[in-house]
Amino acid sequence: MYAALWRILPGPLWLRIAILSAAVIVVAFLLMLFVFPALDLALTTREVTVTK
Amino acid sequence: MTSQRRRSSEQLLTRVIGIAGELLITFGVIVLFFLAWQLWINNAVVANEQKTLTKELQESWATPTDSAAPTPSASQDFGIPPAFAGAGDGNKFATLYIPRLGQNSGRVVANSVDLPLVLNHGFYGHYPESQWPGQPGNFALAIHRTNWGSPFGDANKLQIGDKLFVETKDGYYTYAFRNYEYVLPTSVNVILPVPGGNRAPGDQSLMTITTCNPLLGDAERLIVYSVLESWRPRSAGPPAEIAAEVNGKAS
Repeated sequence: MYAALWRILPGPLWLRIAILSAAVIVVAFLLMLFVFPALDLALTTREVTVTK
Repeated sequence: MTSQRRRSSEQLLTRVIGIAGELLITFGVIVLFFLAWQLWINNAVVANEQKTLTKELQESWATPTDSAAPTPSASQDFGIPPAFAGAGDGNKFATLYIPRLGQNSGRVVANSVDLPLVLNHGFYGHYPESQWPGQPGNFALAIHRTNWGSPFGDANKLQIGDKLFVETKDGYYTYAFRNYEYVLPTSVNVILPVPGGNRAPGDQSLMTITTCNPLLGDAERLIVYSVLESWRPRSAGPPAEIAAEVNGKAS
């Protein structure tokens, strides 16, 4: 999977590394901004209030 | 012919297993990243947001002060604390500082205990059915113990008499820590005007903060009780204990 991704990336080595780094950063931000908050709410509801 | 077909099917199997393995590794890395986000990254982000919100709220309260007027001394008594007028549902109306919990303990108080909307953004949530600062009765709040930018991890290390400061648009209410209680999540009597019973509060003003216990769990609630001691109007400036943080000089 990742080997195939590496093969289809264009350009010389430095460009491929740059594209991959940018992609990793974008994915990390998408995860932190949208996926993780939703996951957090679904998985770890830690109640702190007193309720009947 | 048959051996060739076997070889190609073996190659296919190898590729499928390879892709499955890479997906699993990717999933594992994302799970670790999620844990890091929960424990550190989100904490820092929310704490920073709270710092900004505290500042914004303060700027919205700022009134032009007469610089020629004599600055009241730190120990001046300003009499009986006036009751806070109240706030609408979900509104941000105060900031609570607890110096014992560190230099950046200030968190905004919002009038709601909604988990996703208020508490998960690092706010103290005010139980809307409870009283207001300065009113006879119980000013009851909730906050996360850990994560979500909470400064409350060390909440069980308060010492009797430790000061808790509630800043509103009117001024600073000073509460003194009185005691802890460890209760079940259903013990709603801790947020009654007089915790524990159906009695009239008289002129006593309490602040109750509920949080989860044990650390990283929510099987019980840790209750932090404090008693209203004194009051300073906004024009008199912040109490010395929190002046650095209020004036934005805390690191």
